Amino acid sequence: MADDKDVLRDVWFGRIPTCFLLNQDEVTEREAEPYYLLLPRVSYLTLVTDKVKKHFHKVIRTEDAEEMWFEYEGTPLKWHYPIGVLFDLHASNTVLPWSITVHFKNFPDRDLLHCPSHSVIEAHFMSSIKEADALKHKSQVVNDMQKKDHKQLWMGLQNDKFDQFWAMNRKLMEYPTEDGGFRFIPFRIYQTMSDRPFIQKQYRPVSPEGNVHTLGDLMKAMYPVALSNEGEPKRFQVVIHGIEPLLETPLQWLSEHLSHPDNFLHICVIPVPSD
Amino acid sequence: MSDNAESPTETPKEEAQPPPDDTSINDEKKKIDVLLKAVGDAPIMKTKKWAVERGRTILSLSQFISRFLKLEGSEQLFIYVNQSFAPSPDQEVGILFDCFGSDNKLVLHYCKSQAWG
Repeated sequence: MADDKDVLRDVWFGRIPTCFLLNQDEVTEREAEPYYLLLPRVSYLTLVTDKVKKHFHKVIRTEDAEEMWFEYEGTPLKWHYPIGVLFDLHASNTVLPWSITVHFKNFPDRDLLHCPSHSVIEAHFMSSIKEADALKHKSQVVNDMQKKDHKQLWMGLQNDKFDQFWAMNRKLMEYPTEDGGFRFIPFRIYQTMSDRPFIQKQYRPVSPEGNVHTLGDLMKAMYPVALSNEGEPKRFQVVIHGIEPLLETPLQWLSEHLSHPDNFLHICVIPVPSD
Repeated sequence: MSDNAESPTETPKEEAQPPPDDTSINDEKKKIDVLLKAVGDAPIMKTKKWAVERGRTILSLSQFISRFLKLEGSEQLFIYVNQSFAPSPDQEVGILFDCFGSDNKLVLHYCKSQAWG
């Protein structure tokens, strides 16, 4: 029987086979070959695509090249969203590999944040962890950590070091036994069908009466449209890390085991594929 | 970026007009109270309390504060929630209010250099 800790590893090592293609409008000195890469679900596009940039810089005029950005079927991909979330939201239920178009011109300022260096990614990642802990522990755990502990979380993600990351992250997953869970669960619900960014609110893992809240309870409270009524055909999938966890799963367990390294549960609501 | 998207409220709001019909207002247009606090050598805003539309982003608010304080183009502004984290520039204030507001307002600290990392 799989241990709960195996789930942590499966989440960390999730990969998406991806094919990077240069935008046809880019001026090239010779034919641009596609570049294939296995992308970590839990990382960020600009953190893991230095090789992609290097590959395409060989064929384009680098004097003309501006900041690299990515797009899928016309939608600019936000680098500050975890890769797995971008895939589940835009490209799940499509044939692999995931085909991403690479651009070096016309950066869409309205849709994307700039990412001039890895330190910007680090700042964003650490802020997310701090925001999550503000919800879980009123920031007490993250504030009790030293600067070198924070650095260890980042280095673990950057260098794909599961043990290094979790040696520190386990502290952020603890809670007083008498509380039964975190103060509030850090979550974000993304919907493809609306242009609203995401749903994020205060939500307790255990009700004041002591009832354990499930994924279904969360969806009912935050986005009931995602759930189908009895007898009706299912219209939406509630997806975390590319799978549909049972709606009966306790939310506290999901938060401890299926959160991203940023300590947020990123939940995608997508329409059921019509074959 | 229009400044008339927010109205300064320094004292408890007087009912100068009938309360708006909530059902007709798009959720993003509803306003929440934001209290701006200066940190370090950042200039103090003459008006600290603002009613801001929920859908307004941190970037938009940051640009507004910079213009209001007449900061140089090169001067950066950092905004913090709970004196602990810097929200993403595209984060909406309405969500921050829901998650981190207290006493019916969202307190945001701003400074010209990184304060809380």
